Parts: sequence; C-alpha cells; structure tokens
Amino acid sequence: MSIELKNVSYLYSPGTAYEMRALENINLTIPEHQFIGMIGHTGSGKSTLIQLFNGLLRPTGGEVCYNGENIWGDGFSRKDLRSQVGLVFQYPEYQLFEVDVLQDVCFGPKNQGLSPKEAEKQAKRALEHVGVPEELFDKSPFELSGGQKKRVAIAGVLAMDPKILILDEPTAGLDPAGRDEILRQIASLHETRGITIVLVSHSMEDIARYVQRIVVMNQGQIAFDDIPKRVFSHYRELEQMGLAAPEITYVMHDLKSRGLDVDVEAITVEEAKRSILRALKAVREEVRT
Amino acid sequence: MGIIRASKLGFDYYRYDEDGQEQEVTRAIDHVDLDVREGQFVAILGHNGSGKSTLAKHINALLMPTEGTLWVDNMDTAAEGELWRIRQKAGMVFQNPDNQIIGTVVEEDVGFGPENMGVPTEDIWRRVDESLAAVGMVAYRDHSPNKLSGGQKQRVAIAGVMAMRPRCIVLDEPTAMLDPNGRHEVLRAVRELNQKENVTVILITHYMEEVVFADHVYVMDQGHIVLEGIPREIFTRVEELKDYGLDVPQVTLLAYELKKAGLSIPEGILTRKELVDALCRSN
Repeated sequence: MSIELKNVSYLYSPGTAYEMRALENINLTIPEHQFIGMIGHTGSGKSTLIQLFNGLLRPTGGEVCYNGENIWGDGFSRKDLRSQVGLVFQYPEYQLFEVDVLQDVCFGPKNQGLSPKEAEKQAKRALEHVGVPEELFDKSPFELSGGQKKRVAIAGVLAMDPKILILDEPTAGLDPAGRDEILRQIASLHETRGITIVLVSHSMEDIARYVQRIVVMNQGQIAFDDIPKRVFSHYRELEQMGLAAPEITYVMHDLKSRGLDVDVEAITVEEAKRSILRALKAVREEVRT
Repeated sequence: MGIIRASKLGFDYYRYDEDGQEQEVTRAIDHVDLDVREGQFVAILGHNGSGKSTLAKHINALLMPTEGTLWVDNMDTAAEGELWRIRQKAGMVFQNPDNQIIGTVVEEDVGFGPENMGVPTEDIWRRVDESLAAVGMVAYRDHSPNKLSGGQKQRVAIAGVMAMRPRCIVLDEPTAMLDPNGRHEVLRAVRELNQKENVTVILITHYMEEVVFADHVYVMDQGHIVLEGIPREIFTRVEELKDYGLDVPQVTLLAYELKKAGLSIPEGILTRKELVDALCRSN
C-alpha cells in the first residue's frame, strides 16, 4: 500500500495567460504504516500535492503510482483508489451534509456498496474511534461544536476503511484541549489500525510531537524530507521559507551558545527537560571534582 | 472609566422548533464584568464554546445583552440610535479573511468602511493611505485581494477596520487560519496599532504565545470569567489552565516541568530569554 510520485509536476491553467506552476519535479514515496507530517507556507504547493495522492488532480507531468500502478493508466479504478486513500479537507465541517451524525458517516461506506447494516457497523466503529459518544448519533451534524464536527467529518472518511488517511489542518480553530485530543486519536489510528497518516499542519509543535517523518514544501518543491530532528536542525532555512522550528529548539540553541552542553536536536518539552537536567547535573559533578 | 465596560452581562441563545416554539435556552455568557481601559492590549482565552466570541460580538453590538449592560465609550450598546457610532468606535476582525474582504482591489476594500460612513472623498484616500501604512501593506494597494497570502489578507481586513478610525479593535481568532509567517505579520501589525496609535486591542486566541505581550488576560469557562490578571500571573497556573482546556506557552511549560524536577527557576517564565537566563544563572 504505497503511493509513489515520480518527477511529478503540476501546472494550473496550462497554456493560458494564467498558467501557474504549483509543483515541480516531485519525487516522493509514502510507504505503509508511516506517520508523516507535511509543512509549508500558504501557497507552497501542499494542498495541490495531497490532491494528487488520490487522483483528484491529474499531474501535468510525471507519474503518480499506487502499489506500483500508474493511477492514470488504462483500466485503473480511481474510484477504488479514493476509498483507500481518504482525504479530510481543511475545515472538514463543511463536508457534513446529512440529517444526522450516523447517516452522515454511513454515506461513504454505503457508496462503496456495503449493505445498510454493514455500513452502519463501519460508521459506528469509526465514530467510536474518534471519540464521538453514542448520544450524538441522532443529532444534526450542524448542532455540534466545532471539535465534534471535525471528529464526525474524520469518521466519515474513516468509515470507508482507508489504508492511507490524509488530513489537511484538522485542528485549525480548535482550543488546545480539543487539538490534543484529535491528534491523539489520529495517532491511535496509526498505532492500532496501522493506517498511514499524512498530517498537513502549520503547528510545528504538533508536528514535532507526533510524526515520524517531515516533508517540507517550498515554492512547489520538496525542500526537506527527513526525520523531525534533522528537519528542525535547518531552522534558519525554515525561517527563510516562512516556517520555523518549535520554540523548544530555539531554547536549546540559546542554551548551547551560552555554554550549556544540551542536545540541540530536542524538539519536544519532554526531550528538552531530560537534556537540560542531564546537562546541569554534569556541570554540578564537574564543579564537585 | 474604561472604554469597554460590562456589568453583570448575560446572554441566552434561544432555539426554536419548527412551529416557532421555544425549545432550548443556552446561556452563553453569564454575569460577566469587564473593564478595559483605553490603550490596553487585552487577551481573552477559553476553550471552544466558553463564550468568548459571544462576548466579542457584544462589543460592537452584533448581539444585545439578555441581561446586564455593556458600554462602549460610555454608550450603552442596547440603546437605540447609537448603533453606528458604537460600531465605528469598536471595529471587529474575524477568523476567516476571505469572509470579510469585499473589494476587488486592496485600496477599494480598505476605503469601503469610511465611504459607507459618508466621509468626504479626499479624506477617504488619506485614511486608506494611513491605514495601509499602519499594517505595512502600502506596496499592495492596487493588488487584487484574492491573490494575497492569508496573513496579508488579514492585514487588509485590519486596515479596513482602521480606516473607520475606531478606538478599539476586537479580533476574534485572527490567526487561526494562518501559517507561522502570517501569524507573526498579523500580530506585529496589531501590536504596532496598539503601541503607536494607542488603539485598544481585544484579542481572542487559542495560541498561548500570542498572549504573552498582553497587558491583561481574561480566561473564560462556561460563560464566566474564571481567571484574570497579567500574563505572568495567569501562566503560573499551569494545572488550572489545563483544567479549562487551555495550555501555556511551550517555554512556560518547560520552565514549569524543570521547576517540578527540582531546579530553582522563578515562577511565571514567559519568554525564551527569561528561561535561558534563569537556567544559566542556576548553574
């Protein structure tokens, strides 16, 4: 279950006066079971890129392959592809439309040809997995709070049992507790169901805490593609691209430049705490001897 | 006397069934007292549904109190006839810049407010110039707004409010949809308006880092103001804030964790520099 992009480029309105290059020469593999973070400033090509993953956009150059097969080749079913590669757009609450929560989540699996009973089973499982309690099942999705709406929309995609789940800024506009909860549930989907996750986010702190690999988009190209520590060590370049490292990374660099021997690659509060305590302990022992 | 004052403010949302019968009443804000002095930078925190936006909408009379009173520059928002003067005094910027930009060219968009108020043409242009300068968007005055980045759009929206010469500006999660760069741009613009033009700022946000520079912070929960004070006081209450579904800035959290682990660090660390200084002093 892998997606592979080979020399992919994408032009908006090719051949017209409004032609605009959104992606250029992208080579990227999304293997099974990975939790990937994608960052990039507004207009860097992230949204175009994720729409290529499930064939919503057709590349103007290069190939997009799913399990080695070109998704734009003859006889390839893009309908099947879309139920295996699920996409949750930014502001997922705009994707809601049914009369009640359960019906809304049933829509996807029903469309896949499951019987109403099967579809409902899938829907209930998905809702449970994202933490939507049963008493909300017969409420109108439009009566829910922002965080609940987002959860229902994610469940709607999840109910189709995708192998790969792509989420575009799923936590924008949520309060800290709601944000943490949704991210934890996404992480648990990755752990318990083995679903590959691609998380697009503007929050470096969230990315640092959850993902295994970061893809950085800049001006339609991949600027970095590496594990979080190594990507955030390029914080100066990231700033040039309108991004940043987590605040913690800056603290560690400042401490190091003031002579404290800390790990500058720490990117979470927990890692920083351990490293600082260790460094201070070493200093004290040195003073003693 | 503060420019924005509320006394025992309460607001109920009513829900009606298909026959127009009252079905449900939700108390969105309850017994809120507020006193914002002219020129202050005030932040309001609270989880989704805590009543922040409902409170904000009272400040420029988009909502009228069910109970209690709110005064903008000594005008009661519920009083007939003051509506336009109130809205001119207290401007509002919302989360999604795309929903508040109406002009096809940046300068026209910014001029829309004063034009509507009947300001003479030459005056409008002067205000457009000044407002665009205040948010650093002069270079884009003849651009189309839909080609701008999120941060730029939001700054145009702020300039549009500024052109009406408000004395207070209420921003309801203005950075929620922006990338880190856009967030910095908008925040810098807002802080400058506050410091240079002495505009009173009321900022609603979920980003704790944006609150560090505020003069005063209110924390809301279930329609009530549950905590208030300067950021340094508020952010020492890490556990309490977590109970309210909130957070503290990462630097503050790290300082708090290190203190818990036995290091001697002063309370209420808010910035990177404070933390680094404290750590380098402690060894």
